[in-house]
Amino acid sequence: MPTFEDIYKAHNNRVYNLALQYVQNIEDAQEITQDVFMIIHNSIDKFREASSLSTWIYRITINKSLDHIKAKKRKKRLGFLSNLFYDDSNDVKHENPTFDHPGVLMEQKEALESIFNQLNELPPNQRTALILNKLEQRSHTEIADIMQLSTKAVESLVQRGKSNLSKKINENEGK
Amino acid sequence: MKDPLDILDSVQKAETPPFLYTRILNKIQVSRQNKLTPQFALGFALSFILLLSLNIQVFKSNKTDTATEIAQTMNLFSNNTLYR
Repeated sequence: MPTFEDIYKAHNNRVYNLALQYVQNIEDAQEITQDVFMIIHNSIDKFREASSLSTWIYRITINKSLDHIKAKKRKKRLGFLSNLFYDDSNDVKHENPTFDHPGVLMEQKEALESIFNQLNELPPNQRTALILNKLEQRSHTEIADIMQLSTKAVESLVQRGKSNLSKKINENEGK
Repeated sequence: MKDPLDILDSVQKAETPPFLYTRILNKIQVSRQNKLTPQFALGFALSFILLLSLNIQVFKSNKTDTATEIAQTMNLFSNNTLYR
């Protein structure tokens, strides 16, 4: 059985990059990476080798990232409500996180920020399938294993995700 | 025709900052310190049960005394026998 340090060395970049594709923000991605490795540390004994270690880690990262996004949205809603009741224009606690993706080149920042914004609006399973396929370069079989779906279902999700994203991009360009 | 999603292929891989591992180890250390030990949980449960049973005991004994006392002060029968 590998030690925790071995697991961290082998998988930290994968976890960090996957989290970045979901949140597009360095601080949030670091927070998710810390949470994922805490879970790995606390439940490595419960890990049954029914799937590979990397598949298991991918699943934890996806769930943590989606939970993080949900929590942020909840906080934002609460912030909006509290701003309605307590009008404090100097309050900057609830502002949106900025697009801060270290894997994006400066000259493509604007175009990619807009595409990521559209990607964030897709349903979670389409978004996950697209992120794994287009950004993490995983095959349909690997994605099926990670998402616990059939390969056919993944093919359909990727297809629908691509078509919905293209539609959203075209709509956005037409504005 | 060019696929608008092709631009996603240009997203590069980022490196995890070196301090992150130390931060994770610190978090693990803190969570270990805050974790409830089984000995503490058992001790807490036992003292709670003891306290609860003592309370029940006190409540029961007080209840009987008060009822009898009230019956005596009001010149009432303290039992249910109506005919002697």
